[in-house]
Amino acid sequence: MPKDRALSGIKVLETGSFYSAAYCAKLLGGLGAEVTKVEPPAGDCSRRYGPFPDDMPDAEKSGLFWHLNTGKRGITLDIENPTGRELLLRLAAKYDVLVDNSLPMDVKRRGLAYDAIQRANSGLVMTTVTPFGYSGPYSDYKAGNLEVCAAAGACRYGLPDREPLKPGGYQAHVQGAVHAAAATVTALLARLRDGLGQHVDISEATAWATFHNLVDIYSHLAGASFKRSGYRRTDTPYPHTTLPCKDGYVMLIAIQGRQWKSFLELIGGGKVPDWYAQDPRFKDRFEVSRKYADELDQRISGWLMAHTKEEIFALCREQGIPFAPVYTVADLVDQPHLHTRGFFSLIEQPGAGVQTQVGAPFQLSETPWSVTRPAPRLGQHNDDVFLGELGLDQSEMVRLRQTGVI
Amino acid sequence: MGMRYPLDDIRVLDMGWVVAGPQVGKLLADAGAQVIKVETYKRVDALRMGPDNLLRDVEGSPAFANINRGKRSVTVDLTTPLGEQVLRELAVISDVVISNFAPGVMAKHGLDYPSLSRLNPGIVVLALSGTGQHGPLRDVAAYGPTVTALGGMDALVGYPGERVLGLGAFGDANAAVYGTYGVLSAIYHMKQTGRGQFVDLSEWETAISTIGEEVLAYTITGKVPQPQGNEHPLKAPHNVYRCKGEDAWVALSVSDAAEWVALCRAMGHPEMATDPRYSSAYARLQHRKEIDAVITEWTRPQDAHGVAAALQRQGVAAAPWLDIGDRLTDPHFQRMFQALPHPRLGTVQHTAVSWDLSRTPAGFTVTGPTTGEGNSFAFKELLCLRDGDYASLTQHATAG
Repeated sequence: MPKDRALSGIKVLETGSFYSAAYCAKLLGGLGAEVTKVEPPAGDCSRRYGPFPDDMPDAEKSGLFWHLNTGKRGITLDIENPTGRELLLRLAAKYDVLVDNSLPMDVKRRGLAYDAIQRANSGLVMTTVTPFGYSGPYSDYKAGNLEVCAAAGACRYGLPDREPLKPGGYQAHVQGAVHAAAATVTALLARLRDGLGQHVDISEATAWATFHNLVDIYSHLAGASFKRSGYRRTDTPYPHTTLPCKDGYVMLIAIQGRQWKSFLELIGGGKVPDWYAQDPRFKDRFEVSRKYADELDQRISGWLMAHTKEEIFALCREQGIPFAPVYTVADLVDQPHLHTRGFFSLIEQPGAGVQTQVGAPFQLSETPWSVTRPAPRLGQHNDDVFLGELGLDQSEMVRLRQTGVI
Repeated sequence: MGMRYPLDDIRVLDMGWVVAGPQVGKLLADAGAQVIKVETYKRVDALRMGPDNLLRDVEGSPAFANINRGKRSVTVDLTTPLGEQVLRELAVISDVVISNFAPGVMAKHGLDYPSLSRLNPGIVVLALSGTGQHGPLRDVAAYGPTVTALGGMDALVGYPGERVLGLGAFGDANAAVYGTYGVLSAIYHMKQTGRGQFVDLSEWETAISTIGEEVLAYTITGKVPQPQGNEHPLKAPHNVYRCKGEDAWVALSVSDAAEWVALCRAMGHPEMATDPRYSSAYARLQHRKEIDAVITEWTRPQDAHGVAAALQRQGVAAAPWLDIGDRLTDPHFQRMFQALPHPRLGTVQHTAVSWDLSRTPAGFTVTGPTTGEGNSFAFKELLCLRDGDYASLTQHATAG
């Protein structure tokens, strides 16, 4: 068995649709697992998401699909169809991990629940990442990213009198997927002892609710309920806020009093400005957050608006002030620090040139992350898998195509 | 043979601090690892004195108790040669060392990967920091709330067409999940090759990783992403709607024609199902605001749980918006809390395990440790320190 990658020799089969199973499998693939993505013959829905080069919709040129599926092989298989189901079970017998994100009721309807998988391969780790997990009253609730975020506590942004907002991107899916990747490796470690697999049941809602913003749970239990409060927090020392600057926004936070004092000295030309030093209302930074935040925002906005976010970041760094620019993606792709570390990957996508993608989420010294192939075209590896791995012959392949199974 | 925890042969030295590092230790402890948390007399974990701590002494934080459940605690004075030495010895007999100090701190104490791997080639060392261990910005002081700003996530938070609101603030927990995946993969590799490795995690990079599709979207289109609100590129309706009660809301969305018809019927507006203004996903995206207004009129007098349950029966994606108090009593989420006795706080609610493994389930039976609770275990049982050395090592425990 090759040992040059952390997960070398692990074969992963990915079913389901859209984001969470795909991102989990991508993470496993980046560390050396060989991933085969199973799409319905019509293609995964993320192929319709784009964005597309030149705004020309094309199932082979969807940015979201590329992001989620670089590094994988791709096959088509209609697992709703009994023949498709049987082929999937035959494949499962040859794989180490199956990652799926279908609702439990759909998995049962297809006859592809863990007991069937286990009969096909007792050593297989079946990882499911679903909105609410396999148990509990909401387990079969239909839910996308937004519904999970709302129920699990991730929609904590926005103004107090308006609707709560979700975090940027597809965080329910992402957090579920990363937990799923970690839990999958835990099950693989257990398998090293006795060769047995198991069902790894990851709930996106549980992953979020049991892992994020945990201190707020106890603030709530202590009576100080967390309320969304727009661009600032009112329950922490001032500043804890996002304010405009010359070319965007900056995030201002000063955990330690000396950090805030350093900023006041910075804008006061070496000393804390008199308007601050001599105003007793500003002594207690908690009090300022609750009562005088608008006034202080106003006082410092002149300085902020006279500087770009990079200027503010550089000046603050020199003084040990942890204020940070609110970067947009456009800012990020030009960051020398990220390029020095080799964070971005350049992936050549046939027919679409070289794309800049996020690369290693962390750097392993001995078995680094790497992505060795572009995202698959629809059914690109059908021959490799059905002929090569399952041993079907060409005439069977023709019939499977004719009948829409693959 | 009884069930064994998957990591019951793994020892972890958790030098983590506040959230990012200790959350990695928490997941590993839940999976059965023996996790030894290190604190110094001079500087206990700042989480012990967080805003949730109403007792205002170092044993009074329920958040600390939760994040450090199942761990042992040792207290070491790193300014003494003996303190440094025993910590290095503990590290060398561990399988994993976790830290989230600023770059350079671990090396100063001889606890960096090159030093440790010379003595234990199988060791896995995870260093989490704001911007990683190398690169021009490696010394930036970053906190959870600034990581999401740097990472491009905050710029996406706000009502569409309005100012950025930001305050993403989950950079630490996010980094911890990625870091746990990195550590487990490195352990998997070590189990087969005997070789450990160093995991250099930049919280900034793990933040950007969560919005990888936005990076690719920008490089494909050149368009800078703006605050997204609750909008979805292909689905409408897709929002959070006001319900009966104070700050009560329901999230719902429609993915296809059948769901749209079901929603219109549920709302008592069957005519909208055939109205050409809403007849396709494209048409509904064009009339997003009108649709939101009709839905709000329907949801406003109703209970959020009731709306969600009714829509689910019709096959429409929906869920109540829940705050922390709601989740403690919600029939689905209340299972995600587990009460355990605590020496100072009586009973503390702990968040349940995050993973459900059918054959080797995770679990925890004890709350977070009091300061130095594991000193005798770690120094006498594991390191077999002589009584005199143990006494001089721990004498500051009562003094400080």
